[in-house]
Amino acid sequence: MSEPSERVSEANEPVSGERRLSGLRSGGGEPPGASRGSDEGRQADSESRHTAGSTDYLATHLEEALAEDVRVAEQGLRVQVAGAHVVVSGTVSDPQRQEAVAEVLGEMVGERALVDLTEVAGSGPPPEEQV
Amino acid sequence: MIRIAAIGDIHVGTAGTDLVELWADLDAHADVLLLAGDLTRVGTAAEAEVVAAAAATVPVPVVAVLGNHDVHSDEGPVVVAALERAGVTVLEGTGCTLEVAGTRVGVAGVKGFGGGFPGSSCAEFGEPEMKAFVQAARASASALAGALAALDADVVVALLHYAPCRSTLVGEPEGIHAFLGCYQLGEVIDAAGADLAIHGHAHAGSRRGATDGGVPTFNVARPVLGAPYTVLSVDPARCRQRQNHHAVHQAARRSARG
Repeated sequence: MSEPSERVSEANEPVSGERRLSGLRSGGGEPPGASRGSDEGRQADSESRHTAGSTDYLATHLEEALAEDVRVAEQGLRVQVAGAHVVVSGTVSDPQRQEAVAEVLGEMVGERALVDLTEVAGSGPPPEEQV
Repeated sequence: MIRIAAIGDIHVGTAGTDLVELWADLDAHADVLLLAGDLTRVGTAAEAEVVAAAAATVPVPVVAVLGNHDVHSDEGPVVVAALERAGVTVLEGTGCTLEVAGTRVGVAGVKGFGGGFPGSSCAEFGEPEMKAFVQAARASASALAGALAALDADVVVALLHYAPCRSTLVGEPEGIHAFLGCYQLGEVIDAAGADLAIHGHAHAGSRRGATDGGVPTFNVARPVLGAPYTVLSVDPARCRQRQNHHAVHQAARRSARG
């Protein structure tokens, strides 16, 4: 079992300031979900759905992005938004997927810092059970 | 003892998998490997080829069901074909019987679906989308029932992706239990008198539980196991006792109903 990695990054270095959740421009050209899996589609989604509202909404949208973006495609990850931090936890299948989690969230969390508590699926000794 | 290795939710992408190495000596630990779905990341042909290549190296028979990730790209048949070319038996409302040290091990498999559990299950009512959701769960359970009934084996295993009971979901938020499995799967497993059930899908769930009827149930999602597989040691003598007890119980129920 790999040790949980805890990485804190200033994930506010996305491609451009336009990608940040704060100060999103309004009115995406595509309907929500029209281009899931692409930067453009997800950004349009965020733009049409995010306002400066509940952090629960934000956490949920981030969890949805982790499930729907094919770079990650993990449904078991949990995201919490706490003040200036976005905390993601859960197990991913491989190190590449772990990097993709940071990449996808980094494009969406804006000014907030990303705290990555994900861990890679274990390869410890097989547990045994009697039936 | 029959040694059944099992794992699900390996979510293999095109970059490869560490499982080739980790499964290499599996025959030293188990007689068969059961794969409980979500073998790929998003169910593409390319990912299926990576999984198939890994499965082809396994030195024991491999039996699988697909998971929701494996059908995400609408290429389920392509995934199945790749696995079958690698020698994997893929089940969906079907079963197979393996001969292990003179014991017939029967496996009935289905992907399964959500729908919830007693106290918080969905009903086939209202919007077409809601009806379709529940119909999918019921159809899946019905297919599993048929596959179980067709088996003639000393040890009967139900292999699923979705959970047939709540007890292996402990650890998951209760609010999503209805998306992790449905009681109808457990109901048909109990009715058939299966010896054990194996599923995945619930990454934050619990390793061991039981259906409402007491059939031992194992959540083998890799995040739950923290290992490349688990090994379930099954005593065929206990299975025979359980099946005899179940047959007597069923006969008594039929008699009571007249």
